Amino acid sequence: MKRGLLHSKKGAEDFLNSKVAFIVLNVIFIALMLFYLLRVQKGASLIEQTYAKQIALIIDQAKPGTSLNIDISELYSLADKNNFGREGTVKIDYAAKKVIVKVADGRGYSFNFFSNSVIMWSVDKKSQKLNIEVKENV
Amino acid sequence: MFRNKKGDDRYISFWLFLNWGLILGAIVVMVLLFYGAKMDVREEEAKIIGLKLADCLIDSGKFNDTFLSEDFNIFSSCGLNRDAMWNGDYFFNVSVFQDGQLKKENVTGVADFETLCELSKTSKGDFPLCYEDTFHADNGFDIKVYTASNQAGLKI
Repeated sequence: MKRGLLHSKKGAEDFLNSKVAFIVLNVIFIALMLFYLLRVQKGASLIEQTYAKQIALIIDQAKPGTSLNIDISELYSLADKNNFGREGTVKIDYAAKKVIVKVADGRGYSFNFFSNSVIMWSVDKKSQKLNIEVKENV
Repeated sequence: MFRNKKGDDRYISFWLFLNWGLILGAIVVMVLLFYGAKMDVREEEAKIIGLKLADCLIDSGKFNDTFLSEDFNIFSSCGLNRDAMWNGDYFFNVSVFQDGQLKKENVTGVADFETLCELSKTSKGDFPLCYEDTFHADNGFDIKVYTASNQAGLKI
């Protein structure tokens, strides 16, 4: 009788322990999945690609005499997060006809544009905006 | 009998981990497929080239007949960079017709793209994306533009 009681107590404990472990493991699994999804969603490579392509298409479409302001605060916050200097975040290489966007060391995204216009660009650090002026190539 | 009774408290088992592994694997594959896919702007690029060409060849609804002269520079006139157009990612073909007769044609870039674009209508694959349109000018000219882009961008 005593042995039976002991045995059932131990069984109940085991049952409870395995149930708790099961719940804890499930919570860890779901948390890891969510963490992975959020990390990928806010991934730098996608944002670099988006900005490089958008800027290049805007330059290609713009007529001479156009001035543009593009908000790059999202790039700056990512660059800060990766301890990457804000200086090299966006670069428009007019000679090579390239837009280069970088938010981390040793990586980035480059996209070509085909406009023949002269592109003058600068970054306003205060408003975190990229200013582009499209001028006629004479 | 004994095994069946014990089975109730086996929450953590090989099957549980296999189940998690399958779910995790499926999510990772889906995420990689979704975010790994190219953000494709080739169609927009082809359209921009086509509209730029049409815009410089038609002025206030009339065909700009300087295009017909020998020394007409389509690159500087239409704001397109010659080197960029010949870098292997682009193609354009501008044909000007008057009363159905071809007056002049300018073909620049990778000539194969025109064939590949036609092929993409019937076959699946990674073909360049194209834009095609015909613009009618008031002075009896028709300008047909056929453009293509295959620029994918570059991770550095």
